Amino acid sequence: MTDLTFLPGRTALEAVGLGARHRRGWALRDCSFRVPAGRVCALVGPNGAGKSTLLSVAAGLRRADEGALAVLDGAPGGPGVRPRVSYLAQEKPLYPYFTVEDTLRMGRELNPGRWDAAAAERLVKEGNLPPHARVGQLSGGQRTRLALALAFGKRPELLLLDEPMSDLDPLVRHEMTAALMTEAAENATTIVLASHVLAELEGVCDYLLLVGDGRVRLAGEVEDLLSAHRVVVGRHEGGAPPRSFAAHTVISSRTTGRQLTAMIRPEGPIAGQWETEEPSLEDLLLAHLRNPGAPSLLTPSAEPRSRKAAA
Amino acid sequence: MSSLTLAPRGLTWLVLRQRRGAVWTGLAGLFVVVVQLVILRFALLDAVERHDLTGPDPSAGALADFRASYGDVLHYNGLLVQYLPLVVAMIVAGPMVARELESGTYKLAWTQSVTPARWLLAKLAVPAVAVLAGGSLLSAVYTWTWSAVPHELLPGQLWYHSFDMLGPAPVAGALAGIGLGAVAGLLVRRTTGAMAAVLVGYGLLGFALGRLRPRLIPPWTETTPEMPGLAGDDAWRFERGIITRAGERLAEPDCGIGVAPARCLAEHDADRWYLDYHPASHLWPLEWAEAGILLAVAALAGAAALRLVRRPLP
Repeated sequence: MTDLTFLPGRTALEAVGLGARHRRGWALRDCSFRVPAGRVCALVGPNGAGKSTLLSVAAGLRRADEGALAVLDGAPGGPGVRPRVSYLAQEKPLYPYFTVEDTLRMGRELNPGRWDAAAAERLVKEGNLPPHARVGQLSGGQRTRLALALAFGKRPELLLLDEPMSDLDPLVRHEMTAALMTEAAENATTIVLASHVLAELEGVCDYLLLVGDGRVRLAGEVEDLLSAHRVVVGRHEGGAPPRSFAAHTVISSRTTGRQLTAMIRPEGPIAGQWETEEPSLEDLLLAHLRNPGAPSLLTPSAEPRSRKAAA
Repeated sequence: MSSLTLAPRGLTWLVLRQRRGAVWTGLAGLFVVVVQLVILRFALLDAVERHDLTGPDPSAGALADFRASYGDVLHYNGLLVQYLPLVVAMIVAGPMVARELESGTYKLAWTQSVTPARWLLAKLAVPAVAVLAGGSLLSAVYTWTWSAVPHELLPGQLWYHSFDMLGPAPVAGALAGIGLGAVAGLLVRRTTGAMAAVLVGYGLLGFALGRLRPRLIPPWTETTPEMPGLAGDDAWRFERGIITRAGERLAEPDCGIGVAPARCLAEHDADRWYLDYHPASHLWPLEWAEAGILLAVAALAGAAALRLVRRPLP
C-alpha cells in the first residue's frame, strides 16, 4: 500500500478556479492550488474563511458551484474516490444511540474490503473507551477519539480533518496528534487538517494552505514559505516605510517608537542596516491574517498542474 | 446473530440497527395483532353459529348483542391496517431521513464507502421489504377475519366502508408512504416538520383517491322512471341523479325539500332517474386499481427522492 500512495508527483487535492456559494454569498471563490500526496497539510484561515466548505467539497458532501476540485485525481465522492478518503466533520457526527462497538461495526459494514479493525480498535483501547457505552454518554474528547478511530479504520489515502482537536484537553490533543503523525508516517496518508489553533500546527505540518475571504493566500511547503519571508527589524523614523523596501513585497510593518518590525518577501538583498531572520510559522500566518491585502504566494508544487497544462 | 449466514450486512445492518426499537416493536405488535385477529375470526364464526344469526329469523336481541360485542373490535383492528401507511410514512420521513440531515449524521454515513444514493436506497428498501412481508400478512389476516362475517350482520363493516383496510390497498399505500416520506424528509430536513409534511401530503393523497375511487373502474348504472333507493343490499350506491330529455345527467338534482320525485323530474325536464353503483363483486378490481395507482405514486416518489439526494447540499 505504501508504495502505491507515496509516489512523488501524485496529487491529493487540486483546485482550479474553485468556487462554492452559500446563502449569503461566496464561501470560496476562484481558488486554485495543489496539495501533493503524502503531505501533512495545515488548512488555516480565520473563521468563515471557507475551510469547512473546502473540506466538505473534497469529501463529496456538497458540490462546487464553479471550477473544479480533483481529489486523488478523481471527482470528489466518485466511486473510485469515496472509499479512499476519510473525513471528520467539525461537529464529529456519530449516532448517539450506538455503542462504541456498534460504531466500529458500522465502519466495518460500510467499508467492505478496506476496514482495518485492528487500527481502529487500538485507538479506542488506548483511550479506554468502554465498548458497550453509548456514544451519547461519552465525553467530547472520547467522541473525538472514536470519530478518529472510524476515520483511521478506513485506511484512507487522504484524511480530511475539520478542527479535529478543538474540544480536547492539551494532554489528549498531544496524544491524538502523535497518533495522527504515526498514521501518516506508517501509511503515507495525506492529511489535510483545518485549524485555527496555530500552535498545534508547528512541527506537525509540512505543507500549508492559508485561505482568507474565500481565496488562497499562501500555499506550499512550510519550509519554502518560511524561507521566502524575512522578519526585518531596525531603526527607522517617520511614518512611511523605508525606501529600500520598495523592491520587495511588504506583508506587514509596524513601528514602535523608533523601531520598525516588518515581514517582507525579499526579491533580492535588502539594502540598509537591518536585522533579518526567518519568521516562525505562527508569525508568518499572523502577518498574513492581519493583512488580508497582501498578495498571495504559491510555491511551484502548489501550482495546479492542469492550469499550467492549459496555459 | 452475526454467525448466521442470513445476518444483515452493510447498509441493511445499519438501517436495522438504527431503527432497532421500531423493528422489535413492529414485530411484537404484528404478532399480537395477527394472533388476536385469528382468535377474533373464530369467535365471530362461533357467535354467528351459536345464535343462528344467519338463519331466517335471528333474534333482535342476539343481533344487537353481536354488533355491540364485535363491531368495534373488528373496526379498531381495521383502523390499525388503515393507518399503517401513514405511520410508515411518518417514520421514514422523520426519524429515518430528516433526523440524519438535521443532526448531521448523514455526513458520517456518506463519507464511508457508500454513496448517498445507496444510503437512500437502503432507507427505502428495508422498510419496503418490511411492509411487503409484515404489511401483507396483516392485511391478509384482517381481510380473512373481516370476510368471516356476512355483510348484513355488521353494516358498518361493509366492503366499501372497509375499503382502505382490505387487500392490497393498505400495502401499496404503505409503499407510497415510504416514497413520500423520503421526499418529505429530504425536502424539509427537520424531524417534526417532515413528519407533519408527510401527514398533510399523505392525507391529501388519501382524499384525492377517495374522490377518484368510484370511477377507478366503470360502475354499473341503473335507469328507472321511479327514484331509486340508496339502501338495500351490499352494493355501493355512490351517485344518484336524473337524466334530462336532452340526455344530460344531473347528479343529486336540487328540487327542494318535500318535492315529489315525479315533480322533480318535470322541473328539470327529465324523464328518468339513474343510479351509479358498484356491486360487491367490484371490490377486488377496485382494490387492485387503487393499489396500482399507489404503486405508481411509490415509484415516482422513490425516483424523486433519489434525484433529491444527488442534489448538492449546503
